[in-house]
Amino acid sequence: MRRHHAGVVLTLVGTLALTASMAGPQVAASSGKPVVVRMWNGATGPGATALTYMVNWFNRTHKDVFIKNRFITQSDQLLAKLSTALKVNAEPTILLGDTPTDGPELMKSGKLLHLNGTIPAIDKEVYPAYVKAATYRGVQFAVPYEGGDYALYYNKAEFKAAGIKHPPTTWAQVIQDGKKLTDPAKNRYGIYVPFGHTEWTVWTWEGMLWAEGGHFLNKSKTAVAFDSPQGIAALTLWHNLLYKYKVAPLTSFATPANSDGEQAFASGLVAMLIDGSWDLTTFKSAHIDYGVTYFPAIKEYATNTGEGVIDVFNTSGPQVHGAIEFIDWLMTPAHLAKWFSMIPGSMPIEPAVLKDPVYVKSEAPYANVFNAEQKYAHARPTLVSYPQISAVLGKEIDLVLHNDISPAKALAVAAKQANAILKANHE
Amino acid sequence: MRRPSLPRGYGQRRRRQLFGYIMVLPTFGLTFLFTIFPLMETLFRSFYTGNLFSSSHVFAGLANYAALVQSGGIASLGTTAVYTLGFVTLATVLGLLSALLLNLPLPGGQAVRTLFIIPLVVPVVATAIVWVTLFNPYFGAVDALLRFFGLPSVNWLTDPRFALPTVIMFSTWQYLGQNVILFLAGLKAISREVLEQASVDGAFGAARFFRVTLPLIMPTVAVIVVIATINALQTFTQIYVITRGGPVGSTTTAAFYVYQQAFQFYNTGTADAMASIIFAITLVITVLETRMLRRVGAEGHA
Repeated sequence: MRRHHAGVVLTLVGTLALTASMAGPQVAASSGKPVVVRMWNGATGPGATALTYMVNWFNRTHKDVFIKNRFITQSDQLLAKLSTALKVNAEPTILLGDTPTDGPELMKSGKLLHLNGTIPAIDKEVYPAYVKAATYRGVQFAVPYEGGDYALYYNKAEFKAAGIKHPPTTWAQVIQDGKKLTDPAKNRYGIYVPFGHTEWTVWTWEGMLWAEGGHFLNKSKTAVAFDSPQGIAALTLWHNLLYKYKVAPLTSFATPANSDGEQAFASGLVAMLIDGSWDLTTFKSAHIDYGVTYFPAIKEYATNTGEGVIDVFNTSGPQVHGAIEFIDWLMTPAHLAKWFSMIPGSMPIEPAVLKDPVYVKSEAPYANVFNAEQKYAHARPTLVSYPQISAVLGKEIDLVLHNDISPAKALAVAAKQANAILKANHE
Repeated sequence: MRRPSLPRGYGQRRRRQLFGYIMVLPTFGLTFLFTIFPLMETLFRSFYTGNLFSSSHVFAGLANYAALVQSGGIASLGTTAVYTLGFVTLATVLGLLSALLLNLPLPGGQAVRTLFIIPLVVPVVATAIVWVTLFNPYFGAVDALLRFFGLPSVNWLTDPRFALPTVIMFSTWQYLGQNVILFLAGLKAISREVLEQASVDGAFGAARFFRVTLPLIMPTVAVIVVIATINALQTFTQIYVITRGGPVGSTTTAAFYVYQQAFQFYNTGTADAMASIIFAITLVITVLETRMLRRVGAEGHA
């Protein structure tokens, strides 16, 4: 009997404790304690350390808001966790990720806060491609905070040995240099062409499309336009690198975790690689004598954007206010400069941060070519249909790279499927 | 009119039955809540449109099943069939051969048995990452071995011709230990007298295996085939870690297709339709195999 009573008491205590913890922010707000704001992130490595530093700094200096920061999973896998949380009203107030392409779908939850004009600290000089990627049908659904693009890495020692004085600025030069750098008998090739069916292949090929003067969508944005003569020329160029000029290995170095082919460059197998600033430290650690130059032009310079974005979910009034207060604090140039100074190769998207002495003095700015190139950056179309269109396009590009289908036919097949997807999603 | 009397002990039997039902109720409740209800919900939603977050669905008839046909769903079922056939055959045959070797009274046999257990106790994600490294073109150990013998490099995981066979090899390696243990248990259960009698009757080697050993372990074979088939039909983790369904969709199994449709393309209706189809196929195959198992079991005991 006594044991029975003890069980009842324990259950009651447990229930009260649970209720109290669930009601935490509301109770806290009325009792003068800070509002607890839950934040999920997908940051790893130095990015995670830097984020923790910034959150601790904010929590130390703000008595009214407490940011409860949690790493959930890698950024590209956050959607699966988030969708479950949204279904059961357990979503965080802040989500720090890097897939703005999920935004239009997340908007359907009805819980994603519309951010147009809510964060005073967002600099008006943010490169337009980043804001465009975080906006859907006129609604800004996320705060872009970090940039990302790709450029061309080249192996200086290999270039010198081949008698090449300057890195290529056009794809015609890439072909010429590639011929000098390629020696299949020694397992040496000019450049790595990004095989694979994932977004990486599509993302990098979009740069080729824009460099050729093509467009992803038509002018009225009702159909895709990547199957244009410019698109066919851009894809034929990659195919020619592999099968006509034979200056690229017929091997994919894509792994599920990493599609850029960094191993091929780090090992000296290829002398040129399309890659982002995040691998600056990788190649530095591998003691590669490398340089970085703009993503080569065909008719014009172009690159693509991939960005870090912050989403805010409408959990409760005090929590949303707390979230806005935190994001506004985080987005001031001085704080952004400190944050990015701790992440090697990071790319601020506000020119003011690029000039900040804290950022300039740190190791981070050696991403200067990537930073400077942002003025040529385009953005992927922000559509609910984009991930699905990317999948069908990626599959067709990969078939071309495997020499199974012609570029014209592949793009025609992908365009037909893509237009059907747009129609099905009413876009 | 006199009321007919109940048989003696009827009330006690009924009370015992009721007690039995009460004891089973929590298990049934949990199974209903976490298995039967989600299954029914999935089937229901496969006839409705919607997105990841919407709770107001619109009846769509068979549109999701039609979308499945148009978006590579049938191809993913074909890939699943090839994968299942390859995996079940290899895992069963190699498992049996390994168990027969390990059943021989050889020195160090116990230590070798342990080696078969290792892949089984390590999470699939960890071993899959090891395989990705081993099969890396140019830099992997397997490629180094090929070069050592003067053979050309093979794009094991990124060439559409080799990716699925490589994943089948991985799964076979991962689950071989389980089959070896089951087969060893089956072989150890065969009475020594039976085998000695067979030898006296002139049955040795292959003849003794096919006429005596194999018929006696057929119930074990059937259990392994059923388990391996269900396992194969639900394959997801190794595909997600090793190939993400590529290259060019060559390893997109039905289970991976469900994930892709729901969480990459936000087509929850199509995902629900495919999940329902996987369930129906698994149910039919399991029923057929269980019947076969019962028949084989009865023959084995006869």
